[in-house]
Amino acid sequence: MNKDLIAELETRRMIHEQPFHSDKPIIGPLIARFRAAWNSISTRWYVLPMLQQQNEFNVLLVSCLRQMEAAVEERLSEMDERLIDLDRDQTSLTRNVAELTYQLVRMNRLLVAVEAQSQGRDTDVHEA
Amino acid sequence: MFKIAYFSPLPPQHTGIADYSAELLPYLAEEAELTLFVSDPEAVADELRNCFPTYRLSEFPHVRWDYDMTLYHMGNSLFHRDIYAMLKQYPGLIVLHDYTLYHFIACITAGEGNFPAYVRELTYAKGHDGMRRAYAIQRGESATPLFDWPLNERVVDLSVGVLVHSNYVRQRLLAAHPKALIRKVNQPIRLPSSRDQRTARRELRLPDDAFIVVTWGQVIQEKRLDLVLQAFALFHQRHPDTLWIVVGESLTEHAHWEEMVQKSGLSNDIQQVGYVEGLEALYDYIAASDVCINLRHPTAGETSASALRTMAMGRPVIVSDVGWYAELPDDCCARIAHDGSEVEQLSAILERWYGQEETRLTIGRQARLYIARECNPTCIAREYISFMEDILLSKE
Repeated sequence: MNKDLIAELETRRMIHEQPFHSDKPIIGPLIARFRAAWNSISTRWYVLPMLQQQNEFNVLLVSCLRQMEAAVEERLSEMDERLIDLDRDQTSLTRNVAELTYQLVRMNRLLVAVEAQSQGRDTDVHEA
Repeated sequence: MFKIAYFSPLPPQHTGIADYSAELLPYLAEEAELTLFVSDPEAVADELRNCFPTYRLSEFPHVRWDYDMTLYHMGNSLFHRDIYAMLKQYPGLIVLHDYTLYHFIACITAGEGNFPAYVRELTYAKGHDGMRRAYAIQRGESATPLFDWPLNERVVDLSVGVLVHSNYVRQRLLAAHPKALIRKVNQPIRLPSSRDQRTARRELRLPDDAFIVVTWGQVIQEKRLDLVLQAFALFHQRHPDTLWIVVGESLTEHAHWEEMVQKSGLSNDIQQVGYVEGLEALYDYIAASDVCINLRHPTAGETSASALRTMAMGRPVIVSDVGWYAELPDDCCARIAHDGSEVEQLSAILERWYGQEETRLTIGRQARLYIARECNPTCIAREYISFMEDILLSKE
């Protein structure tokens, strides 16, 4: 998960009312004051609860993402742990197989030697 | 007789481990039947190829059941790349020449663009810390732990036994791998015939009456030639009849070495010989010397064939007081501590030895005796076989 994006979401999760503003010279402040007055009569009572709803939703969303992020990190960490264990187990198994191979080669040689010895004895018995 | 599959860099490869193997093989062959496995059999020196069956590495998997033991030589250089790949599949007895394998592992993973493999190796060695460090290194937020993390864990875990050349390395490995089968054997060195200093100088066209300091081996940063240069400059001021000969190839990573020599103003008093082919030629340079210097700091836990060969030739050597070097007997060499006063220590020893020929000769004699006693290749070959027998009989 992209941590930077979630952090960005977190900083921008709250929507705030923006003050009216006009760049017109001289009459600009008048226009802004008029708009604010009109807004408080016509739309503010309607928009503010929606803003509140949106903010609550945003907070919930970010918190949800944070939880998911933590869960994903935990799972990833568990998987890493398992992969590390698997890698170490595989190394250990490879070593054990090698050790067994050497033992097997050694046993084989001993067996061949024992067989040769016993064949020698059989021949001696026959000859006797 | 034991049948051994033998994996090692071999001459003419320019690595001390190739020379090591060339030196050991004839003695090991008296105790066991050897087959050499190399990347390119055609490239192996004739004198070895004529004496030992030599096969391509890729043939080993098909014939591995023919051998009682597989012997891998591992060191911290790219000469071991194919050997490492083979030992990961078919582990065996490992001769660990360097405690630190970090440079090698980093080169064959991240160095070749395979960063996930680098992460895997650091993670194998250090768990989550290793993984975090690897990614931090990738982001440029952390320095590479060149000498702090040896990255030898996988090699040791894979091995059925590990041979090392110093107690320093053995103790460190045992601390990290208490159950591993680890034995110390000395590095085999065939005693060279004694050579007269005057004759050697004449052959090399070196001045008879100069006091000659020799450093030899690959010119790399860890050999601390920068310190030797400073000390030599001080020493040379007091004794203008001194000459420093640098024998060995200069690796590209240490390119600024040439620049340092130029800046020192001692270009006429420092003779750079470069790579010298063959041991005999190297021994000539050692024989021509009055003193050899063989520093190493930081140490990768290696054994120095250069120091041992200098001792074998009966010349006094100055070494670093670290790792394996610290285990050399006091009466066979001089040591300097890497505590910031290296230049003063070095020039003081040179000054002392300059005026004391008898001391130099005594130290050289002791050193040669030590090599004859402790580095006898016949004894060491037997120790190799004895360790293999102990592994197979689970005696360890």
